[in-house]
Amino acid sequence: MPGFRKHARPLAFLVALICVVPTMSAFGAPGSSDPAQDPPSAAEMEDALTRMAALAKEEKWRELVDQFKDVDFSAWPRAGDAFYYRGVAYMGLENAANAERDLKTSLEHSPKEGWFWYNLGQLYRRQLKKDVEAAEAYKKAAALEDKIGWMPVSATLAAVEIRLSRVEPDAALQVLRQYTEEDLKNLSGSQRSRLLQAYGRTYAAQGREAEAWAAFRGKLTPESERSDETK
Amino acid sequence: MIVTALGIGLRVHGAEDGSRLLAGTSRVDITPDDSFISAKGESWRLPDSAGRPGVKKVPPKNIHDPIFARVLVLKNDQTSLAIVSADLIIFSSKKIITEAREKWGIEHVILSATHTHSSMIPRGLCPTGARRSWGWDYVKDDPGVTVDWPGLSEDPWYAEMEAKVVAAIGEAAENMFPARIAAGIGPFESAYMAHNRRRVDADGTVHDMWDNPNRLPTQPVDPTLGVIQVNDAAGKPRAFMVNYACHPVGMASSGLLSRDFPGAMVDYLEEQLGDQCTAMFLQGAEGDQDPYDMGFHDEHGYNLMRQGGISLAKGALRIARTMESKQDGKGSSLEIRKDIVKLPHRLGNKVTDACVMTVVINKALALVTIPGEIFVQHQINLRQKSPIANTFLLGVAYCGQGSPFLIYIPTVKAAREGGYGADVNRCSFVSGDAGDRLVNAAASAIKDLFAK
Repeated sequence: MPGFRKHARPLAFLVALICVVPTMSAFGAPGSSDPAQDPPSAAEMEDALTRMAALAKEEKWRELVDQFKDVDFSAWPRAGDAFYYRGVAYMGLENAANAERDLKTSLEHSPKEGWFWYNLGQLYRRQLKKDVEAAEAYKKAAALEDKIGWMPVSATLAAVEIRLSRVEPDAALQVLRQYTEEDLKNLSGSQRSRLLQAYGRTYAAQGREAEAWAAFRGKLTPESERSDETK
Repeated sequence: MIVTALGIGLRVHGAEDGSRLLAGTSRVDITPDDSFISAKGESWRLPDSAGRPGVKKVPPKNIHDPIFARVLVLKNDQTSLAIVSADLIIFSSKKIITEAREKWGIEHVILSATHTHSSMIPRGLCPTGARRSWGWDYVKDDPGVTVDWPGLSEDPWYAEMEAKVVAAIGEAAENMFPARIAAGIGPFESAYMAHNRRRVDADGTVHDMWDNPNRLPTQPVDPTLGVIQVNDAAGKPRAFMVNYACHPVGMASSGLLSRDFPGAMVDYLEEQLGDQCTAMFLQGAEGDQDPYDMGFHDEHGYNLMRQGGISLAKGALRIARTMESKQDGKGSSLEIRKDIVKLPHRLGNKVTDACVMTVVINKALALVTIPGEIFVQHQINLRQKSPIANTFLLGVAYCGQGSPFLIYIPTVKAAREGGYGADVNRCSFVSGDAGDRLVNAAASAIKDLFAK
């Protein structure tokens, strides 16, 4: 990695990176035809991704976009990550159209990244107001990640909320059923509680009172068969 | 004789019985038409934009489901009674009661509001200068004095509603049939309602817990519901009434006009029992009772409200299967009494006259009307004091005498603790023991009528 020590101290690393990053727009930027500009090396691309991650972590969306807006990441080894970071930055700037373009491109490169799907869901739900697309994205996000974790639980709950708001309790239940009673036992108390409440709301929306009560009271199995006379 | 939800097994004894019971039913749409809502705007929905001083009251933007008044008239040689259940927050029209007597000879009328919070209110019902549409908080006095009740009829929609209800009582009274009545009370616990919205902490602090999405246990609640079924000579159900205590507030502040869960309940019952059956919701002691879910002003919220109504209907049908009519072949008894109860105010020396109407039918069913939002513990207490198991308290129900509306009627304990509906600054002007006074008067009346 020319010019960089592998274990540079963070400050030195950032200073060095800043020296490089302003030239990022030459990294295969669309329309760039200057033969004198060499494509970035693998190391430079990796460093740029590290930089993007750092900016994203600090929510410096404007800075991230300014530095990478003209870069075509398509040929990068980790193109999915790069498009993702920039897409998230556009989300932070509420540039929904660019965010959607980048996030969808990121998923073309990395279709099995749950967090990419999750943020696409967030974009659809919060900014583009496309509930159905959001629910689908959340569902994929949850399915791709280990069930024990904040994101898959949050994605599942968001998808359920959308389906219920559309009075589609069957679809909501289909999403929820990714979490079996056995799965729930492995979750933290708060996560388990949130999912059981969602089960309760979903059953209530279906008119399945016994199941709803059981879920609200911390169980998935119905306490009795008393409530639904149509059975 | 078992009365089933389908009326199987019911026999009605002959017309030769000296005090045979006759019944008639009707229903009338009291929804203001679109042009009225959009153009005239004389009446208002409940509530308007809450908490913003000076915000102009506006009529409903949309009609989610139409509002109705539903009527059951009962008559025998002794007397006659009309029970009207209307999809209104308050339904205290002396004009209707007077005209029902003058035009149709109905001696007694119960006007029962379902208490839906997403319906119409007449101009002039809300206290003048109130910061909120429902600003009884700021009055601290008897609405029987502060509201110009006859003047409400100056509101065109309200006047039209009153005329429609009088006509509906007439329609029921003119189309009577030999009837048999049965009543029952049974357990009802639902995933939709109800919880006690006054959360009292160990240190005595009271919190408003309007909704309860996690279904936390609360007290007191009354996990029962009461059912009254009236069948005709052919054994067909013609009227089916459900008495339950819970605020219909699932669609409150939605800007929509709706009957809320009582509407979903009657729709389901009429679907199950047939077109000829008029289903009615008789609000109970809902003063401190709310549904678990509130504030979902989307299709999910409307669906939950609907499911809540269906749940109530199913619960009532289950109870109806076990009901037994006490009406024998010799006829019926219909005893009615009105008692004026003096209620001191908590502040000052004023006293309000409240009327408790007590109806005892066949010595097997007791109805008690209270013209206010009484706390549910009083409903439980009344049943314990009554010699009749099927004793149903009708809150927010007016019989034509005394104050038309007492606002909230807490328990002594709740009045001491405070909180919404109990604190004198929060919609409760009567003395802490007002509920006990009313319940004792009703229990005494039931005992007297039962012993006759």
